[in-house]
Amino acid sequence: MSDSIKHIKSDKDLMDLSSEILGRTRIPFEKSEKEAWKEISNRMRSDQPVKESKTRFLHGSARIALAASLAMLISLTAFLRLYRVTTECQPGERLSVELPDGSLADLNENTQIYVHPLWWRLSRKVYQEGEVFYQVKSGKKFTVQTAQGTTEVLGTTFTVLARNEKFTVTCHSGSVRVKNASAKRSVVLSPNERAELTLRENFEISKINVERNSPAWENRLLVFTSSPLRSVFDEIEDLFDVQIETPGKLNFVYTGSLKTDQSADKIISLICRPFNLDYEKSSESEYTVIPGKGD
Amino acid sequence: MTEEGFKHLFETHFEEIRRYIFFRSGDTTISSDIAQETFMKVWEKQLDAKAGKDVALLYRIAGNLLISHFRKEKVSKKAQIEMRLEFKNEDHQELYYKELKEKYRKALQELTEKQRTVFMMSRMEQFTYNEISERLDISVKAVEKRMNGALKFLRQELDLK
Repeated sequence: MSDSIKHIKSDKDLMDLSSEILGRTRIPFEKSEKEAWKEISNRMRSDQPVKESKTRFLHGSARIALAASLAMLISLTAFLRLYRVTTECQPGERLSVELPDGSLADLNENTQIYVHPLWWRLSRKVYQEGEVFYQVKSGKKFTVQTAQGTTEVLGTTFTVLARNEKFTVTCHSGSVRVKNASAKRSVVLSPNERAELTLRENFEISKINVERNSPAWENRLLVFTSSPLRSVFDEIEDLFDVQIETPGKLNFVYTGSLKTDQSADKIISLICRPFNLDYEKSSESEYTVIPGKGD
Repeated sequence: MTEEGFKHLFETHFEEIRRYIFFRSGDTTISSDIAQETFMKVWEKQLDAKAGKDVALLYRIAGNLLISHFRKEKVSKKAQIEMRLEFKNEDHQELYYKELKEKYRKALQELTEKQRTVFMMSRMEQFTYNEISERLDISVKAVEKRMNGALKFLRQELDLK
């Protein structure tokens, strides 16, 4: 083409030519470096808040709203969770309490329970101190929490006594699981079984006779004040479904209280002793009271 | 990074980055935009690009921005580019020289992007191979290879034997 090209022999020459051509070349950028800087520094200023908002989760008011609704939610949950209704039964009183789902709690004297009624749907739990007979509507797990241990059932009737050191659970119907406070020991009770927590944190199970639908304490004590002896025996007959024959004349009056969670034999002998009477057992359910031989 | 430090970084490297994008894209508008975008990114993220040492970071950001621009615009990098170059003092030049320049400009357009970028950084910016390899984060060998490829192609295009 031309001389200046023709004398290019080596790469070096081509490189030099390139440098020469490109050295005389400028790239026609539309804006100068100064203009570019001006734009950037403007953006630096206006972008400052925008830049923050990039890392911000939500804008001002939405943030406050979110925080407020979170706080509301938390406090509402806390309220539902912590709101409790306490029922107290003074000495000498009896109370029957209906729990939120219709289950019944019969409180013996000197007893206190509380529940979280608003949280009841999520967990049926009663906190108890004293003695309570429960009639539980079937449903989800029902828990009785006491200082000494926990009792869990699904739907049954049972009595929990938790007073001072004593802790007994009596199952009237259904089945009941009892755990001690540390939850290390647990037993499952069948109807007519009573578990008592021993000092060594073991459960001792005993068979007892309880009514299916009434508290154990309701027929635990028979109290007589100057009652004719015959009427006392009538009561016993009804209670234990036995026949008691008595000699014709029996002019005694009886005053005293009797625990009914013991055998009929024992009770009859307890009644007879002060009057110097004795009894004979003619069959499983037939007794004959006779004058004692002593004295 | 202080505003002053940032301004210094800008003054030292803005033109270089802008030309780098031009070497790759041949588009002056895009080059200015992407170079500005690159520095905005450095400022927003407070990247510690110390003048000199971490220039490669600027090149990488700019290169990535260019690629994402191509992707966004759905423009193929392989599409024919037009290098807009203006030659100074053209009126005094002889005709053959003018023709040569035009031919040369067309040849540059035909180069692969990698070859052109390295070649123009070497010839226009007067960077040494070492400086190029630092900036583009490639080995000196790779720079040499691209340079040789570019020279071979140019020689052929300019009818030089």
